[in-house]
Amino acid sequence: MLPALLNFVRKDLLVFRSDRGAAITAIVMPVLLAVFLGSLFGSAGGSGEMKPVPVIVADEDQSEISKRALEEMATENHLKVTMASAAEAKEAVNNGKSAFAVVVPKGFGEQVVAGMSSGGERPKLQEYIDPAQQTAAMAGQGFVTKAFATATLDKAFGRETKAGDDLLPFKAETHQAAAKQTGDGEASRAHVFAGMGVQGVLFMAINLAMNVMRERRTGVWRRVRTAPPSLEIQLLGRLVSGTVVGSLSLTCVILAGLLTGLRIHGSLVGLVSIVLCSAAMSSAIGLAIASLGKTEEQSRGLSVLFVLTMTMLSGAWFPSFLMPEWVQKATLVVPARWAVDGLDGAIWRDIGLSGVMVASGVTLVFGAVFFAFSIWRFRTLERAA
Amino acid sequence: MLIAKGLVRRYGQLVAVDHLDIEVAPGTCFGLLGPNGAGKTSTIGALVGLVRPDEGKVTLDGQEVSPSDHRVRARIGYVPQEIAIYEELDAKQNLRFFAGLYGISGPDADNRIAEALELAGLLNNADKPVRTFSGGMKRRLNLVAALLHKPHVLVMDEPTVGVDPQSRNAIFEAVERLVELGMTCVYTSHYMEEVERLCDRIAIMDHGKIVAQGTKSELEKLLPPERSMRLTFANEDLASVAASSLGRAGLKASREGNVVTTEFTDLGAALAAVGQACAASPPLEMHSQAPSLEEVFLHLTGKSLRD
Repeated sequence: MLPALLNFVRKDLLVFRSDRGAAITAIVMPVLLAVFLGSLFGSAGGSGEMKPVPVIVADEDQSEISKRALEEMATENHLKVTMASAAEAKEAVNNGKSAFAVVVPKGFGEQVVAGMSSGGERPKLQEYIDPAQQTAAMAGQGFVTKAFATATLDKAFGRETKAGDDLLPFKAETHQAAAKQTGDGEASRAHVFAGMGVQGVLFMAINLAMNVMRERRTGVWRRVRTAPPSLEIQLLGRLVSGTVVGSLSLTCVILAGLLTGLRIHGSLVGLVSIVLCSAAMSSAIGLAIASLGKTEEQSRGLSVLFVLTMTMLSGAWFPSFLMPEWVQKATLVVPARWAVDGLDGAIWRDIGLSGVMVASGVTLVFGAVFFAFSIWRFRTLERAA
Repeated sequence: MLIAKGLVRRYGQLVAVDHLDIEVAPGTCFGLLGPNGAGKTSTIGALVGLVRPDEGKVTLDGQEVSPSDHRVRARIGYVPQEIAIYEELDAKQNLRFFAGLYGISGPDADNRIAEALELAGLLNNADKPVRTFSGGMKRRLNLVAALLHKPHVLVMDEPTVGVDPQSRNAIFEAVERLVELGMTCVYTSHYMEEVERLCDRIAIMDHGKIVAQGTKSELEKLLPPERSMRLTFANEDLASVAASSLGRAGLKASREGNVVTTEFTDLGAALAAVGQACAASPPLEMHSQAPSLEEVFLHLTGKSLRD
C-alpha cells in the first residue's frame, strides 16, 4: 500500500515541478500578495507603538476650563492636537483630513460653572466625526472628553493637578488583550500573512482539482483505474501530494514574512500543525471540487468564486472580529476560518498551543469530511460510467 | 482464455451492451469492429475490469474480472483511445509511474522501461518531456506504458487514432511481435485494414450486440454470392456487342456508355464466358474486387464503419 501511495505522490510532485503555472499560483502569488499587503499594514503601525490620533480643536471660548482642557490634551501622548477655527475644523473632518474635531463654543466655561452651582442647562461641545475613520475618531473623542472632564473637576474642586487620572476613583490599565506583545501594525501584518497564506493554499486546491479533471478528460484517470491500486489509495496520493505542495506554499509565505520582519510569537509545534492541517483540508476541497465538476472551464470559474467567497468569510482579507456578530458565528462553519484563526494563533494571537491545536483539529475534521465526500462521489461516478 | 458471457450494461433506458458473448483464445488477436455508439467502449470497460456489468461476467482463465479483484486486473494491460500519459513528465518518468502502479520498481523497473522504450523506438527521447513529442511518438509511448507489467491480455481501444503512417506501422509491428510472443490481444479500430491485418478473429458490433464474429474468411462468406465485374471497351458500339454476347452466354449484363457490368457467382466460369464473348473485341480494362470486411460490415449493419 505504501509504495503505491508513494508512487502517486512522487508523480504528482514531478508534475507540479514541471508546471510553472501551478508553482506561480501556489507559491509566487501568495508570497507577493502577502508581502505587498503586509507592507501596507506594517506602515500603518509597524513600530508597535500606537500612532497619535490627530484632533483639531477650535477654542472659541478661551475660558479657564477650555485652556485647562487644552493643557491636559497636550500631556496626552496619544493625541496630536492642532488648533484651528470652527470652520476649518469642520472642513478638515468633512474632507477626511482629520478623524475628529471639537469646537468649544463661546461661553462654554461660564455655562459649566453655572451648571455646577445652580444646575442650569448643560453647555454643549460641538464634535465632528469622520465615519470613514470611526476607530480613530472614537479614540480622539475619548481623550478629548477625558481632558474636559479633568479640567471641569479641577475647576469644581479647586485643585490643580498634572495628572487628571488622579482625580478619578479608579485607574485604567490598558492591555492589548489578544496579541502577544505585538503592536497593531505587526498584528495586522501577521494576519495578512496568515490570510494570504490560506488564500494561496485554496487556490492551490483549484489547481489540484483542474489536474484531476484533466486526467479524467484525457483518459489517464481511466487508465490508472484499471491498475491494481484502489480508488482510495489514488485519492489519498493526491491528498498527500496536495498537502506537501500546500505546506510548501504556506511555509514560503511565512518565510517571506519572517524575512520582512514578522516574528512568530506562538508555538512552532502549533504552527507546523496548523500548516499541515490547512494544506490537507485545502487538498481535500480540491478533490471535492474535482469530483463535482463536469468540465474544467466551467469548474474553474465556479471554484474561483467559491474560494474567494470562502476566503472572504474566513477572515483572510480582514479579521473576522470586524464582522457583525452573527456573521462571526455563521463563519464557524467555513473551513478556511479555522485555518486562518489557527495560523493567527500560532503566529501572534495569544490563544495558546491548545487553541491552535483545536483549530488544527477542526480544520482536519473538515478535510476528512471533504475527503470522504470525494471518495463517495468518485465511486458513484465510476459506477455510472 | 478471455471470455465474456451474457454481458449486459445499461445506462438508464439505454442498453449499451446487450447480451454480448465473445471468446478470445490465448495468443491470438481479436478484433472488435463497430460504429460509434455500438457499445465498444462499454465492452472494453467490462473486459478490463473498469465497469461492473449489470448482467453476465468476464473471466480470464476462469477468474472473474471485476473492479474489486485487483489480482486478475493486474494480468490485463489497457491502452485507452486517448493519449493517456502525462505531458508534463518525460517518457521515462511516465513509464516509471505506470510500472509503479503494478508494484514494479528498482532495477526490474529500469530493465522493463528500457525494453519498452526500445519497443516504442523512443530510447533517444527517453528524457524529453512528452509534450515535445509528435502524435505518433505519444501513441507509441501510450502503447508500451500498458506492457510494463507483462500482461497476459492487452486490450487496445483504437490505438492508432491520429498517427502518421510510419508510427502506425510501428504500432502494427509491435502488436504482431507481442502476439508472436504469445500475448492475447483485443483490438478495436475504425480502420478495417488494421483489423484485417492484425486480427485472427473479428467481431462486428452494432447496437450493443455482436452481429457476426469469426475469421475474416468466415465473415466474407456472410456476403451474398453475387460478385460484379466491370469491363471497359474502346467505344459504345463494342460495349453494346459485348453486353449482348454476355447475355447470350447466360450472364446478367448491363451497359452504361462504354462500360459493361456483369454479375457472377463463380469467377472462373465468368472469366471463361467473358473471354469467349469478347474474343473479337477484347475490353481495354477488366476490374473485379474480392469481398472485403467493409462490404461485410455494410451488409450486416447497413452503415459504413466510420458513420
